Amino acid sequence: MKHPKVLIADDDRSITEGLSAILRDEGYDVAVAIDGQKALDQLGAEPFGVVLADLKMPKVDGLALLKELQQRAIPTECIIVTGQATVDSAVQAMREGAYDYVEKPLTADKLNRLKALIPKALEKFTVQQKNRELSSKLEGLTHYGELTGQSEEMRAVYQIIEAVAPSNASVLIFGESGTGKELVARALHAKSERAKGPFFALNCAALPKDILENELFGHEKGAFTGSVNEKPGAFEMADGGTIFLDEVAEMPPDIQVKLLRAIESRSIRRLGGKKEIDVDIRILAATNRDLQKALSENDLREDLYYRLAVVELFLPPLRERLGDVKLLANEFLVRFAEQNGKVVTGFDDAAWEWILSYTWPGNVRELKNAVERAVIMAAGEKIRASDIMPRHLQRTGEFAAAISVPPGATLADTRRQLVLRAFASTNGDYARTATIVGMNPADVRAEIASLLNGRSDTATASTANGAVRASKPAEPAAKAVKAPAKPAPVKSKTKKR
Amino acid sequence: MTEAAATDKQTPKAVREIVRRAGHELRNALSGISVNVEVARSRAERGASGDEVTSFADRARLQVAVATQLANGLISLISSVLTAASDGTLRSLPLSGAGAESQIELMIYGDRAASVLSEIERLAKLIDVEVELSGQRVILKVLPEGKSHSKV
Repeated sequence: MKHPKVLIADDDRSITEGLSAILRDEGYDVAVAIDGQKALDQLGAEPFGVVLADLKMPKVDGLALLKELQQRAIPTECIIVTGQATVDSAVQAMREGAYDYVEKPLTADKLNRLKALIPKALEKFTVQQKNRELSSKLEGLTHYGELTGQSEEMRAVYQIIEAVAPSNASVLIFGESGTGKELVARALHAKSERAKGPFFALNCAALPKDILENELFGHEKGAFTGSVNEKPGAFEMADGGTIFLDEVAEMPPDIQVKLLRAIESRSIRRLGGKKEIDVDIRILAATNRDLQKALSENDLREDLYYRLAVVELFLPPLRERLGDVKLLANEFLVRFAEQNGKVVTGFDDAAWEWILSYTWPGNVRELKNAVERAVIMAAGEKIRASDIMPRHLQRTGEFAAAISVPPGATLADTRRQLVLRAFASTNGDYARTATIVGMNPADVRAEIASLLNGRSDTATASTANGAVRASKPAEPAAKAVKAPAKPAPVKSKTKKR
Repeated sequence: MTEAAATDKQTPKAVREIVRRAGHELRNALSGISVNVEVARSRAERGASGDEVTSFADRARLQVAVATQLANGLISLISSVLTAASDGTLRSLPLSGAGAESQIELMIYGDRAASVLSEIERLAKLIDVEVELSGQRVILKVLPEGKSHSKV
């Protein structure tokens, strides 16, 4: 296998030539720079996975080289080779971002250590390089498969899908109802090597036990009264492809046992059948249940959970990615206007204010339905707030009662939500909004204007369920919290995990 | 004198710097020996041609010569410094604006003076130190690194 290139930066020819020979024998593609400046020039011209840099070199020494690499954002992993008597400079090199350091003289033990360090550093470089490529590929992306969203949260979801799809690993997708769990499953299938095979989705909560069992495993002729023909189940029909089990935590316990057996043995037995049928499938599953609760109450078998959740992926609710609401609303508007043959070109300001301030407990599905209804109801070219607002909310005004403040939300995000909510509850009265939230009316106007201009980049939240969470890496895993803005509570779906 | 002693503030700055530089170069030379011997060994093991093995063995041999020069020079210098310190002829000199970072003067005398001086001069060339002679008095000027740096 061809390794990424290794650069040796040292002004001592006896070392560079010997070391080059050793590393070439190990299969590396090696280049040499005889001082720090030349090393920088070479690193700027072509990618090197690892640099072995002498700490003491003419022109630019090892530490200065490290600093320049950081400043110029040149991706590489630097192993410092030091002939200094103290380790102070080596420790400083580590602080400056060196991968590791090796002290001279390079005795046989030290050479072995160096040989062991290089593949590890290269692996780190390769992983980071892939992430960089992926991030740059996903940057600015508004659509991924059938998923729509350009928020940081959704880009992180896309990144996980990209990483996981090519493997055969089972993925358990968490997310509230309407967040698009099946679309994620479809994207995982489409991006996998099984894409040419079938994708078979089954909702485990929608079917009675006997029918679900029959749907999953099929039956032989005469297996039960009325079974006049044999019928293959989902496992057989998804052979060579992917099976998606939605609401998997709702599956009856005895079917869970059969499912577990099927996953482990990669074979099934039809109802009434005697022979084992081998199946080649990838299993994706989803749930909106509180998994810890489901596990502790034995609604979901723990052994099945571990089989299904090789990778866990959390799909954020729409209220935690408000940056995507405008994109989605506009997209649905165009789609439904076309489908209904109506000339509806957009939303008026009040409609936008309402759309952006509503928490969308039904997530993307609710937004989609609301826009479809609004397009149908719209009397003019612009959709008004009354067209899109659900009737029960129009009657009660409940929507204005609470805001969602996810962990990681900034003060600015929270203030924006408060302003919007108050603004919507006052039917767009700037003065009253200012009084309610205790702000200057001009600041309220500026806040609303910034949102309408697309700066609705709300903060992210993370999950306590341990799922691979599509959020900023530094954010802590914690439950989303609801902060009531007014005394009257609103009944909305809260994240259970 | 050990490296630790050489870092002692009681020791003249020039001596400390000479020991530091010599130590660094010695480690480099030892690395050169080790690395080239390793290549020669592995090539010989897999039956590479004689030339291929010899070129690395020669490089290792050259580094042995460098290490020897450094070690002999260092031993001669430290012995002379210790003698000069005990007989009171060792002194740090003020900087004369000739580009030196630090300098010392010491007396080198006795039967082996010529040989000791020769070894110190060879060391000095490898570590950017200038040697000035005036009878038995020897002045060692520590130049900024890289001024007379030459590697094999």
